Amino acid sequence: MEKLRPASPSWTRGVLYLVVAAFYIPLALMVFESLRFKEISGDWSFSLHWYQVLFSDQALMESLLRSVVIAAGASFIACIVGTFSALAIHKYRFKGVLFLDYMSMVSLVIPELVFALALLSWFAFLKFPLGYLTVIFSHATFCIAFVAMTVTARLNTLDKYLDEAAHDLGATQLQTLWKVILPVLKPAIIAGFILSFLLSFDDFLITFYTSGPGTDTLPIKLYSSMKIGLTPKLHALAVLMMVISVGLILILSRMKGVRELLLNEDS
Amino acid sequence: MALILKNIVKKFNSQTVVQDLSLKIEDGEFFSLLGPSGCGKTTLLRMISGFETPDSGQILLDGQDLTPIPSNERPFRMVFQSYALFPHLTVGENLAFGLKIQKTPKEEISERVENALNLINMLDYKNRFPETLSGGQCQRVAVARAFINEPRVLLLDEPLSALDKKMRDHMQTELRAIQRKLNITFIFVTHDQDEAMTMSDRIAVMERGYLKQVSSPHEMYSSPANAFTASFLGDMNVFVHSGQKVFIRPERTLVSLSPMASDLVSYSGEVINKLFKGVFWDVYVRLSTGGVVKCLVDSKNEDMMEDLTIGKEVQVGYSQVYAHVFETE
Repeated sequence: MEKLRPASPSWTRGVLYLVVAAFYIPLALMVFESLRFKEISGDWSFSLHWYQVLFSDQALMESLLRSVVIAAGASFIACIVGTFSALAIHKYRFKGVLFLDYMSMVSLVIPELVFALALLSWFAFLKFPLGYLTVIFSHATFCIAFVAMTVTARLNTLDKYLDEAAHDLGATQLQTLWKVILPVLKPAIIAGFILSFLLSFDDFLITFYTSGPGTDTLPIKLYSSMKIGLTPKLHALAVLMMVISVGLILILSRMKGVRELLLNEDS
Repeated sequence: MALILKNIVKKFNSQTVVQDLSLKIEDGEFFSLLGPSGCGKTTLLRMISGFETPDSGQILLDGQDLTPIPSNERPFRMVFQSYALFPHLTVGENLAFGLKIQKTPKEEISERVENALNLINMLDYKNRFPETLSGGQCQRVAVARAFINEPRVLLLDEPLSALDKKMRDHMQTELRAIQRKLNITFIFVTHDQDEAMTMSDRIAVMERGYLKQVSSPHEMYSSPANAFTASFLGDMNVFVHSGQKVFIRPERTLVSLSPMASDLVSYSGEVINKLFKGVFWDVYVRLSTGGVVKCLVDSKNEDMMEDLTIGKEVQVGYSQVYAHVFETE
């Protein structure tokens, strides 16, 4: 008979609950505050009032749209560059390929502030006006590594002779790419896209340095409003951002082929 | 009408993997390239398929030089060791892949896919994805995906090595049957001598880039051309007789408790092990002159096997008729 694994000491479960509580209580409080509407009399009730206020705030809604456009643009660029760089690194074991591989990961570990400053001075050097494009370009740079990572994870699980098999069956290089390689990588590319979208959507520091006048994204807007004072409207805005992020993660984890991919990455 | 390899040389960096190799493979032949790993057999196959380019030499099909023709335009199809089925396509779509590329009419594609699935007994699996198939089924799909395009030559790179023994035995017969039905040339790379012997019309044995012998399985077994093929294909006992190495097959090596007839070459020795194999016993004898030889004793010989206990002094001998002696290389 199979022996049962020894139970972990009971205090470990206590620690787990504490950690979960420490993590979720602030979030719960935020959701609660966003839903609480105080009457002048001092009584309060649950209502969607602050969400109404939020959605009727023209400037905020514009920055939300801007955030979405920037996230989509940056993710799109990152997907194209990331996928092809992963393919190149995987397929061609040329000299210095490992160095390149490591270099593409540098953006994951480099302090964000350093990176933001570097980008800012780069744009200044190029005399490139700060605006939509600079933000999209900056976000794309750090998203590329994430796309390359998910695509590489998928490539590692694939039969390495797939392209030769397609070629052998008469396909040209381009047909092999369109009919075999890209379809097979599709879940990984979509996962990379969603991850990039989230990173870009959440990003504050790099956006703060590289955005020009009038291109404030939602996190920037949230930050500048916070300086004036915490209002229930800001809570509603934060909840909205959380819902978008968590929603995307949920879609991601339910997608066919993506789950295995994320699990693979852990090992 | 044949595939001719002429003075093929292939080097990787400075290491020569295939050394001035010439070979003629006839139409409709089941031809095996046999050798230990690293002997250059896979490289040779990849040069025929066009994935590698020989450094010198020619590959001729019906007199036409294929060397400048890229792999996707050669009339060959390859079956990969790992099968390389497209995971995003169903079995039917995998089979149709090559035909679609060639812009075959839709009706013809579906007809040929049905026929091919029928031939490999997998008609019910048309809409299944490769990940839901067993190893043997993947193997059959990989073979079907290759032959559905009616290639002149089918190239198989150790296609059975990932299967378990029972499945492998079954697929050996099945592959051979498919080859007979289609009547196309199969070039089969393997390191398994039993596999090569059972399936092939002819075998080419390779060692370290050199072609050692090309002949039918029976001829190669009964009259090996050199010491390497002698011991690589089947078992061989090595005796030393008047300073020369003499190779004898175990089934031609006699063992006896009494002295041997005078026309036989005989040695004395001691039984060190006996293994029951069903039809035969494997009896291992250490010769007094050194070295261990294996003799096969018919299991029907029950009295003798009872006397042949471990540690027993015995006589081992052979007839000169079955002796293979090779020039040292």
